[in-house]
Amino acid sequence: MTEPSEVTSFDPDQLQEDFKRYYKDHFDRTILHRIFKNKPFGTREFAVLRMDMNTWVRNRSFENMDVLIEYLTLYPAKGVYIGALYEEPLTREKTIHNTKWMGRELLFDLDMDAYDPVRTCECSGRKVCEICWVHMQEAALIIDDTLRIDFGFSDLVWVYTGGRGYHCWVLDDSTFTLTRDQRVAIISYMQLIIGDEVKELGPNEKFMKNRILNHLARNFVTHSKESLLKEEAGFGTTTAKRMKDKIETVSSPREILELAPNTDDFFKGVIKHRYPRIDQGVSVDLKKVIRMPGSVHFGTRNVSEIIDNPWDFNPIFHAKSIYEVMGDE
Amino acid sequence: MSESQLPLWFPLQSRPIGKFKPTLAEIEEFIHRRSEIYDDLKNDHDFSKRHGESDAAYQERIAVDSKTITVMKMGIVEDLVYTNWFLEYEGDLFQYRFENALWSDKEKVLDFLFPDDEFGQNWMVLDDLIAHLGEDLIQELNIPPLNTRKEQAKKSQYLTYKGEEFGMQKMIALSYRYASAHLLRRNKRIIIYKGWVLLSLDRYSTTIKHRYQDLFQEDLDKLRERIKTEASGEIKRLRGQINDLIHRHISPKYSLNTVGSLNLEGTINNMILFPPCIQELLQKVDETGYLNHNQRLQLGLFLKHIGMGVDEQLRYWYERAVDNKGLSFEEFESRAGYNIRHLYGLEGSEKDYNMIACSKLQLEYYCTFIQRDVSGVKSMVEHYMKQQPGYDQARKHPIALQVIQNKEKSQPKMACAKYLEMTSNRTVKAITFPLQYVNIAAKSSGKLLETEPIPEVEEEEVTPVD
Ligand SMILES: [Zn+2]
Repeated sequence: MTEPSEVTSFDPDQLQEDFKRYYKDHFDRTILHRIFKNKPFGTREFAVLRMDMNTWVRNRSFENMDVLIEYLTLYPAKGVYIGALYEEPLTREKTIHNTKWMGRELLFDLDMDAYDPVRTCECSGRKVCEICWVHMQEAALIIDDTLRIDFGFSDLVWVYTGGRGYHCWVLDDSTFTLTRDQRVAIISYMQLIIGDEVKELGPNEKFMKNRILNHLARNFVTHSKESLLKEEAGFGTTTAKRMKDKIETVSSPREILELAPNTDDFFKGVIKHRYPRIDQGVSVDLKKVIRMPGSVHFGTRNVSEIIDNPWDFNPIFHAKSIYEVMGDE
Repeated sequence: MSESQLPLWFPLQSRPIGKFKPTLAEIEEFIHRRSEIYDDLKNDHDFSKRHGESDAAYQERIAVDSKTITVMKMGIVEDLVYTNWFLEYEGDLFQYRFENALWSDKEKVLDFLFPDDEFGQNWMVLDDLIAHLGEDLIQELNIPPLNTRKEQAKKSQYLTYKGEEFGMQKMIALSYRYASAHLLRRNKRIIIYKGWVLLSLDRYSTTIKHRYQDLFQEDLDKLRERIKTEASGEIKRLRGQINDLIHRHISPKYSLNTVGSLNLEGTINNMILFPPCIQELLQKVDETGYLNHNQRLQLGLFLKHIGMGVDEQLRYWYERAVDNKGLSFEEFESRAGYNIRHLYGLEGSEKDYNMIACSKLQLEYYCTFIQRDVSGVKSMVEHYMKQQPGYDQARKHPIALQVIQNKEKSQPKMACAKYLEMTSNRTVKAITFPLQYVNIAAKSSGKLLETEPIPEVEEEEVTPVD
């Protein structure tokens, strides 16, 4: 119910040693090769949250992967993060503020936190269960589909963060130098919920509705209580009950729509309760650092890993802790 | 694509205009001509070649057009007040000419505005996109077939033109890299597919205009840089004379004498009365001298509505911008200045814009409680708390804690209300409008701020000029 859980009691010294050993012997280098493609390594910003000092080390770059790993072997990292690519290696003098920015991947950040207002289980905050993780799976489906079909991107990498969410890295070359405004344009197209309001569908309304219907409608009915169908999706008492009864036997999503008394209300309800809630900041901030795939999530001790099928992945069953990776447990 | 293929009326090309030493009387005449065209675009018949006209005759005629704009540029390039007015009118003129140009000329202009780059083409006609993707988009995306589009064109106001030949209802595809947030947000008549934004050229010529204005602005910036070092004293004097003449002939439709009731110092002293989004934007301007387009609009509108006059605002942006190392004052001011006057309804559409409601700010602009993450909100609250005697930890303050909790629950309007409660002791359930925040904060502080009454309706549309 509460996995992936936060591990709270530990021997701090042992833990630091464990983390260092993970990076020394078990860190999967192919992950960074995959993420960075052919881009330079030595002028990339890394940020490290140090376990020993509990402070942030930012504005760092490492000559190559060996040097990075050496650092992580020497100093225990509570978290390791990747920023943008710069023209020169970053130092105390050459910071991200006065060194030329060369680009960064287009990123999307999904976190269970954002779903608190619409979770149908008992979880909130950091808790995650099988029921609410479906939100993450659905979001990955919709975002993957949108990025490929609407934007024509093809080089997408999905990453489980080790905690309560996913990151999607868009690695198509044309995205690397997108400006903030261009990223805002893309994300504003992909976000349909702002605050607690559902915004009007703009371009591609028809295709978007198909996508919503195919990927989200069934789960919406299955996971929503009758009262919610009534309050948020335009159902009456009878139709809501009939819908809940029939949902198991409905063969195509179209049938669900036919049972809805008002399609507009129905779509509004589905969007509000199931559509992806992306953290805009990560996508539009050109210099923000983001958890390094392959690093360890301190709160859960899970490894952040690249996953092929985020729509099937569930951390409760599939997440690997560093102890599993290191073969200690 | 070589520039010589561009239509002669297109100003953003370097064409020798021969020895150009106009007399002051001629200059006056050029200014007069250009401003006449601005005043009545519909009468600008002369830009394209007339039926039966010889090439030489047309070239001579259009050369005058080039001279008029050259003169205008010379007189305006260093006059930041007029620059913004100039950009707007040249934008409109371009749009008019573009809309009425032959398709073959449109193609060349589009090639210039959206040139190929390392990632390939950035615009193409629908038919080419169909070939490029090898997919039957007409069928798949349900685009009306060409003959239907021609029918629609016939019914439209352009009845006198020959439909497709003049690009009527021409569907083009623009690379997603050139699609602004405005284009992608609510426009139901566009389709986005495989990284291409499909739109009817005629319906979306303002998109083309905005791109043109951006390049026009760049062109002016470059010219301004160049004349700083190159210009001789004689040319400098001439520029001054042209500028005087422009001032005499043209008065932009606004007055710079608008007096605000709140001055710069007043604004800074009243910072604590402002919602956190505005405080942050003010701070960001102070620190970096830079805001993105929407943030500038948000802050500009806010300052206007709390009573800052247009002059005062220009000064505000000016004083912040000169401190900035990365950006020259000219670059910053010519853009910001234009937008500021636009906000006051003094330029462009001359519409007096209302302040943007929070729901919209959250979507398209800057909302502290949307764009900061939980730890960001936490540190902001802690920062505030540290300045309050007796509270060194935000966690111990129940209201401060509620700010953070509302952020965690993704309730930005409630988080903002709690922030207000924390700073002013006034309780309100949710903040839905930035000026609502100011009014309540001002009442509680006993300070009188002459803000305008909060409009009941939040539907007012704000269309920034980008
Ligand atoms: Zn749950």
